[in-house]
Amino acid sequence: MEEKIVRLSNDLRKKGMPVSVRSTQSAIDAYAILGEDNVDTLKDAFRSIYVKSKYDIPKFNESFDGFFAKKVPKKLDNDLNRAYRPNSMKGKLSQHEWKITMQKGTGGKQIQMGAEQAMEYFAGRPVLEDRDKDLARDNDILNSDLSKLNKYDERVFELCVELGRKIANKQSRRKRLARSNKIDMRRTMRQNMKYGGVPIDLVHVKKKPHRKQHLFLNDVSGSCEWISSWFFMLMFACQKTFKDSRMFEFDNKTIETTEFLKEQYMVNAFAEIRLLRMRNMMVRGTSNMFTAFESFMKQADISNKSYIILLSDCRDWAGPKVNGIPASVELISQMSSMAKKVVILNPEDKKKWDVVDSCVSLYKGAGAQVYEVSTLNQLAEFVADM
Amino acid sequence: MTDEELSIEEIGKKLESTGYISNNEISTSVFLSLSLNKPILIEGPPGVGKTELAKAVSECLGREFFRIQCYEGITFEQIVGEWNYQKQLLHLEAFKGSEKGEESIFEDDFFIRRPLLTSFMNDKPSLLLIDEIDKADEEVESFLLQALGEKQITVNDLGTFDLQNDLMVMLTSNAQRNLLEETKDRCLFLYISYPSVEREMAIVKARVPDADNGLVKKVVNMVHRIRTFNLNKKPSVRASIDWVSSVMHLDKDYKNVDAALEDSVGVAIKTEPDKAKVIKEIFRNEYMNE
Repeated sequence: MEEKIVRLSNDLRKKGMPVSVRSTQSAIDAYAILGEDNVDTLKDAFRSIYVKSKYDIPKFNESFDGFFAKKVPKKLDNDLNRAYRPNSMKGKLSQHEWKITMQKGTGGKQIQMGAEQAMEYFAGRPVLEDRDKDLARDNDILNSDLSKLNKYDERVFELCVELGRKIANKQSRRKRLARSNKIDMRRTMRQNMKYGGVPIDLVHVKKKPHRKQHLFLNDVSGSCEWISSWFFMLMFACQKTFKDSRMFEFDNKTIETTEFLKEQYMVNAFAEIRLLRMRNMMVRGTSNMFTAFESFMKQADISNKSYIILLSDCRDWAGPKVNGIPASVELISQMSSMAKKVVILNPEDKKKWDVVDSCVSLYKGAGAQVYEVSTLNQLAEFVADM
Repeated sequence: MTDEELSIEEIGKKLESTGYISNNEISTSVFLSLSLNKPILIEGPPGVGKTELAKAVSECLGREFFRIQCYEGITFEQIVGEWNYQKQLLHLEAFKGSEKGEESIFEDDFFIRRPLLTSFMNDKPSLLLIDEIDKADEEVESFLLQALGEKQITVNDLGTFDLQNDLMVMLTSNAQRNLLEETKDRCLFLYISYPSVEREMAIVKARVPDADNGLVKKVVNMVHRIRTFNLNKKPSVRASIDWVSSVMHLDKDYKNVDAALEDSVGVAIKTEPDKAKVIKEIFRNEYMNE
C-alpha cells in the first residue's frame, strides 16, 4: 500500500501540485488508521492532506479516483443511493432533482420533511460535490495564456476581483510595515511631562508616506486588446490601493480611462471602456507607439515620483522610423529620464521578443524594465509586488 | 474515551450536538487533526462557518478555547506576550537604589501573557484558533509556524516555554493573500464553500430552531439567487441566519413576510449599490410572486 500512496504522490506532483515527503508520510499514517474499507472517507482524508489550494481539488479527485476508486456498476450505485434515503424520500426523484414539497399552513408554509430528518439526510453530503468543475475552470483561467482569454466571461471578472483584493491586502500590509520602530524622543518627552519626565508612554516615529504616482498605459491594439481589458479589471478591483493613479489606453493615440475606475460595478466599467474605445475608433486598431507616447506625455504629468507601467507587446507596427530604429524608442528614453521607473509588462512569450517588429531590446536599452506576464496570476503577482 | 479514540461518525454527531451541521469531509479533517496531531487550515469565503467550526470542536470535545484574531500589523508581542513596561518602570522607581528592584523586573509577574503563550501553558486540553491568518504578516506566520512545529516558545529574558497540553490548532483564512508554502505543508487543508440550498436550510434550522420551515426555505432560496448576481459582496450563510432571525422579530405572526424581508434586506446585503440591485431584481419583479 505504501507504494500505491507514493505513486499517488508522484502523480499529483506531475499534475503540478506541491506534494512534500511530509504529506506522503501523513497519508501513509492516515491510511494505517482508516484503511481502505470506506473509500469516500479515505478520499476526504487524503484530500485534506494533499490539497493545499482549492484549485487543486479537481486534480486530486481525478488522481485519487484513478488509484483507489471502486468501480460500482451504475445500477448498483443507484440502488445504494435509494437505500440511503429516508423512507419519506424513497421512490421520488434523484438527489439532484429532488425538491422539497410544500404544504399550506396557517402562518407560513411547511416543509414536508422534518428538520431532524433533513439534517440526517444532508449530513455527510460533500460540500464540494457540485463545485469541482468550477474550481478546475477557475484554475484554467488563472493560469492559461492571457491572449486566449479573448472573449467576455463573467467568471474572469470575479477572479479579477479576488486577485485585486489580494493585491490591495498586500499593499496595505506594506504600508503598515513601513512604520518605523524608532522612538520619537521629542514627542516622548512631551508626552511624559505629566509623569515628571519618567518615560512611561513611548511614542514611535511614524514614517512619512512616500508619495508615488502610478501611470498605467495599456496597449489596446489587436492582440493586446483583451489583455488590457483584464488588466483594467484587475486595477479596478484594487482601485483603493492605487487611488492616486491614472490609467490610459493607446493604439495610435491615447485616451484616459481613470474616470471609469470610479464606477460602482465592474461590468459597468467594462461596458463604458468598450464604448469609449469604439467612440475613438480604437477597436482592432494598429499601434503607432510614437504618436501614442507623444500624446501620453502631453496628457500625463510625468514627474520623478511617477512609475510608468506599460502593458504592451512592444510591436510598433505603424510607428515612424529614424535610421531604421522606431522613433518611439527615443520617447521611452525621455520617459525613463523623467519618471522614477518605466516598466513594460509584455504578454508575449519570451521566444517571440525581438522577432520581426518587436522592439523589446530597444526599449530595454532606452531604460525600461521588461517583464513577461502571460497569465492572470503572473499579472496579479507583478501588481502586488509593484 | 480520549479525543483520539473518537470515530469520524462520533465526531460528526458531537459537532451536531453543538448545532454545527458537519459533513463527512469536515468530520474526517477533525478526526485526522486529532489522530495525526496536525493543525487544520480552513479556507473559504467569509461567513461559511470556519470560525464556528473551531468553536464547535472546542465545545464538543470539552477543550478550553483560545483565539488569536489576526489583523494587519499584529506583532509577536500581541500573540505571545509582552513585558509590562509601565509596571517595570514604576517598580524601578519604587525600589530606586535597591538591587532587588532591578533583579525582579524580569520575573513572571511583569510579563503579560497573550493567547499563544496562555494556550501553551494551560494544563487542560486546549484548542487554539488562529483566525484570519492571511491578514497577519508573513513574519508572524513564520513565527507561529515555528512555535507550533517545535511546540516551544522562547521569550527574551524570561526563558523557553514547552507545550503543556494536547493543543489542537485550527487556522482560518479568507485567502486574501497566499500563505507560506511551509504553513500549508504542515497543515491539513479544509475548504468550506457555500453550501447547497438543502444543506444551508439545515444549518439555518439548526441555528434558529424556532423559525418556520417555509420562511427558512424562502430566505435560503433567495440568498442562493442573490449569490448569482454580480454583487460587491455575496451574502454568507451567516447572512441567511441573521435574515431569518430578523424576519421573525419583525413579523412574528408571519402575516407579511415579504414586507419584513424587504425591510431587513440590509442584514444580508451590506452595501448600498448591492441593496438597490437586490431590491430591484428580487423584490420588484415577479420572483416574489413565484
